[in-house]
Amino acid sequence: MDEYYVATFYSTNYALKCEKTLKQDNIKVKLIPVPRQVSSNCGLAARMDEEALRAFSNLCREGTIEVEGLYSVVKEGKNLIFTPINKECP
Amino acid sequence: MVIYMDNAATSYPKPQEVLSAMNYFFQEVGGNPGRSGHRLSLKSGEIVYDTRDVLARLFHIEDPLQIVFTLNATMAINIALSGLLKPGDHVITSTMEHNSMARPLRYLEEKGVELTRIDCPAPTFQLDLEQLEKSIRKNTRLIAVVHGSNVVGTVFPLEEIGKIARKHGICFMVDAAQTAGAYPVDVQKAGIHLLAFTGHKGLFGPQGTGGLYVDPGLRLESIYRGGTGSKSEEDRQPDFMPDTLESGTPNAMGLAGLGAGGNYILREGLPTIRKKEIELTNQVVQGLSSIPGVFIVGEEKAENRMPLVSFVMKGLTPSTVGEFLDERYDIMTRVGLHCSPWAHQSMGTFPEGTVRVSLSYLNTPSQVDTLLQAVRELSREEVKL
Repeated sequence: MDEYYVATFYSTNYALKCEKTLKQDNIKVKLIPVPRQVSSNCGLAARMDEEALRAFSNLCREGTIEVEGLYSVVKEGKNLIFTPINKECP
Repeated sequence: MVIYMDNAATSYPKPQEVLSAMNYFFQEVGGNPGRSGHRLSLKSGEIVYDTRDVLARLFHIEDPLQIVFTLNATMAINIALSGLLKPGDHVITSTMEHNSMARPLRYLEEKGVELTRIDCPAPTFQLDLEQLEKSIRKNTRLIAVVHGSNVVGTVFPLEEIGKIARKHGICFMVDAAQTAGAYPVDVQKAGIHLLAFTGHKGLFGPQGTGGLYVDPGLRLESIYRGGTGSKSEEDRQPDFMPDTLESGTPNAMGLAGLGAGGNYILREGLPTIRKKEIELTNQVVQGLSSIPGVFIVGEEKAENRMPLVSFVMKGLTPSTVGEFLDERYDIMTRVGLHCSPWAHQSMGTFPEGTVRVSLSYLNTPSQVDTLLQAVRELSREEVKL
């Protein structure tokens, strides 16, 4: 599967908190520079697979982490296509 | 070998892992925390976040992002007082405050903030809680007090003060410069809204580190603004924590050291640290009490005080004593007023001050023996001054 998910944050501190909180539950996320396609913000975004996304969404619902935007990403030829998804119940 | 007994000014030596963490940052990381997306910036951001996390665990803070990093406790106190208080507000404080609290409060008093100082009577110099509660007015916005006195060591009962604040719906601010890392602080149990701490004393971090915890229900107006690495498209300050109060590149290398200091404390355990400090304090107090012509100021029992003892010697100025201890015995103490004119005025030791011996977890009983031997010799006037 070439599909993955990207979450953006209001602050890099939120990104770091997200990574640390998920890591404590052994869930893998990778912090990456924010893709230009989704935000002009400097700083970090979280890249995750579907399993991580489920854990991530639970934390969002509990209010433990705050997310700005959530996107599914698919590769189409040379391009990455970012599609916004509902951050409350993906 | 120098015998360092000035830990209330800054702790020395530091645990080896504090130096290692800073060295690692300097050699291997180097990036600006939370600014860029590359791996060195990310690593730096993770280190700074980890330090927030360790401090949150130490102080029982639920969300590490409610901690704002500062240069020291003084900066944290200024951010808190200036960010919260408006002309017409009333503040209650104590007579044992350090100038880091006294001066910002006096400044705000000139701008229209009302100020009441609560007495801390001899011989323990404990805060008079009855007088504190009686001083509350309709416009009282804040109770702001030191946790542990830097002059006599007396520790104020935070939970009891917090109870009074909660009962009257008043904000509660604590200056934990002396106690953070060396004495239990639980912001939830004590109902603390604002906790100012420094990194370079009990927390064993380097100088130039410190912070302020802000209760999630409080909104402080920042006294400075700037780059935060967040919302870069906006030319107005973000309103979320900690960015709203934390602009500009932080002291990331120092914070790497502070995090290592915090981890050292968590690993050793606060009860273990306290136990040793109480033993050392009792050794100093008992030893000095048995020397003729030595008068200890502050009689709070060791369980309720920081490991520091202030004393004066008959016929000798504090500066003479300090000079002798340094030159003859390589013992570092601090003499004078300790940046605390209010405290020395209420103790009756103003303006000469006292000799202050302040210990840390890393001092030893044999070092205390050397101190006692030196003071004994000085009291017998066997030395040519």
